[in-house]
Amino acid sequence: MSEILIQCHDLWKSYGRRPALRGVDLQLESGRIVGLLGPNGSGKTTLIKILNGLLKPDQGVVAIDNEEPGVHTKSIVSYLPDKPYFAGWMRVDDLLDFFADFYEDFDRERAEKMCAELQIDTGLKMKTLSKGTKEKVQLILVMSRKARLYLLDEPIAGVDPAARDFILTTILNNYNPEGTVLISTHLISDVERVLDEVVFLQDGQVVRQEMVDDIREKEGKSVDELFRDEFRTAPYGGGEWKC
Amino acid sequence: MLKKLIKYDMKSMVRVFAPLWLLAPILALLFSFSIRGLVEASYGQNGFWTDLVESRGGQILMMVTGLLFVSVVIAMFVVTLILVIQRFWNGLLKEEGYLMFTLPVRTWQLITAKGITATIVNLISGLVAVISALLLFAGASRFALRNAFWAMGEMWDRILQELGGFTTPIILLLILLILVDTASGVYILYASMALGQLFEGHRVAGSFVSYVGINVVASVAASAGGILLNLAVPQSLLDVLESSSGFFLTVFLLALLLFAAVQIAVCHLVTEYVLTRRLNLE
Repeated sequence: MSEILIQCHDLWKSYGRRPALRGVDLQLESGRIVGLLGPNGSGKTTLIKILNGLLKPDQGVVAIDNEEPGVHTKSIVSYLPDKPYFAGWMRVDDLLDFFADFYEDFDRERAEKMCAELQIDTGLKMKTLSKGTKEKVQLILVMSRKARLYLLDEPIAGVDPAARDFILTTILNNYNPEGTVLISTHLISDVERVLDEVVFLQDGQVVRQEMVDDIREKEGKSVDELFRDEFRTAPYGGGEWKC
Repeated sequence: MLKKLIKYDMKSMVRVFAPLWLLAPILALLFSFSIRGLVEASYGQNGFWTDLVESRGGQILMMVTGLLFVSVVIAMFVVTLILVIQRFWNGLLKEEGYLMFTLPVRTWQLITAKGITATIVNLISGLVAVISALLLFAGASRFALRNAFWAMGEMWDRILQELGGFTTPIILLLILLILVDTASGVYILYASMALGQLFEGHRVAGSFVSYVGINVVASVAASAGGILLNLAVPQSLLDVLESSSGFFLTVFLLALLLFAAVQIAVCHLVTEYVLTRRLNLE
């Protein structure tokens, strides 16, 4: 029985009067690849930010490896946000130095090898790289850490299909097998094949949490189909779904 | 961890300042050579420099180097202010914040690293300005620097007479005051930006309002403190203070130092509180 890595109990978080999380209860074990799925605005990013310590919940308890988000959890959590987060003046080399300096679990050799494989010149400044290359560099940095928890916020949104495959394969090939990967996304059909478990988030609450194999057996549907069924909204003009 | 953070902050600042710090003294020297002829003419000498200064080329040189020198010095101080603000605003409150606040470091370390770096850079810019001024004197005339030092020596003797045994502590306190005052200015900026963060949607305006607010509070506190001191200090102490200007100055500088230190402490605590409990990166 693997240990519980993430524990959330009755988590609430509002932005002003707008509630983003309304009593989230969640338990995740280690050694899994978990999809955090939900429509836009369901609270996925908010939950991830609470897990990596960027936000404090208004109410409720959250623990990673039995500790509240803080210095220790940040040292075992590897976070990939959905946007670039480095200083433009830094070269790729500087960023490698940076990660090596602050994260003990950073495997610099592996990161350099991955950059070489992608033909990324590490002497270049980040701001001169194309958007796609920047994202790849960020992904390489995050996945080169031997973390207990990887938090990937929309890693394949806004990326072409070939790059999506690259990203998902990189994740599969490089994550710490004793750790957990939490991928938040709304592009389910692409991600489905790598997931062990899914958590459905809607309107700030967990509405479903299941192993992917169980879904396929019990419901006979793919996760993508299940998602469409669960989160369907009536089309404008009424009537049947045409596609 | 703090040392590592300072290392990266210094790297980001020095790459912008290095050219300015190098250019300022060089331009000062060039400018001083270009006006050397004027100075020597005023001493009644004639030669290469006086000829240069009277020539068309020499006069253009004077104007150009003079303009460049003044521009670089102004640029140095403007860039310092802009960069101190920008490194905090962009480095912690924008996208880079996603990187910095997920590092395994404490918030106070992030703030302190930036504060220390900003203070150091400010002080170096100030030092460069002073050195450039000295070079200006030195280059312009063999006599100018010597005369300047002679005048300073005279002033020094007079000061020593007046202050007596308090001279050394006063010098030390002055140096410390420059340091702490610089840091205090930086921390007030940081606290303003942190508080501005709370005004969602109007962060820049919020920062300005906070900056004004903090300065108002600081002024009121200073005045209140001054009045209280006036009332609270017994006559006997006042007599002692007035008896020796050295003693008076020492106590006065200590009071200023204490006030600036309190400012730093309060601003740091406010900044840390907002960035720990109410962080909301866009």
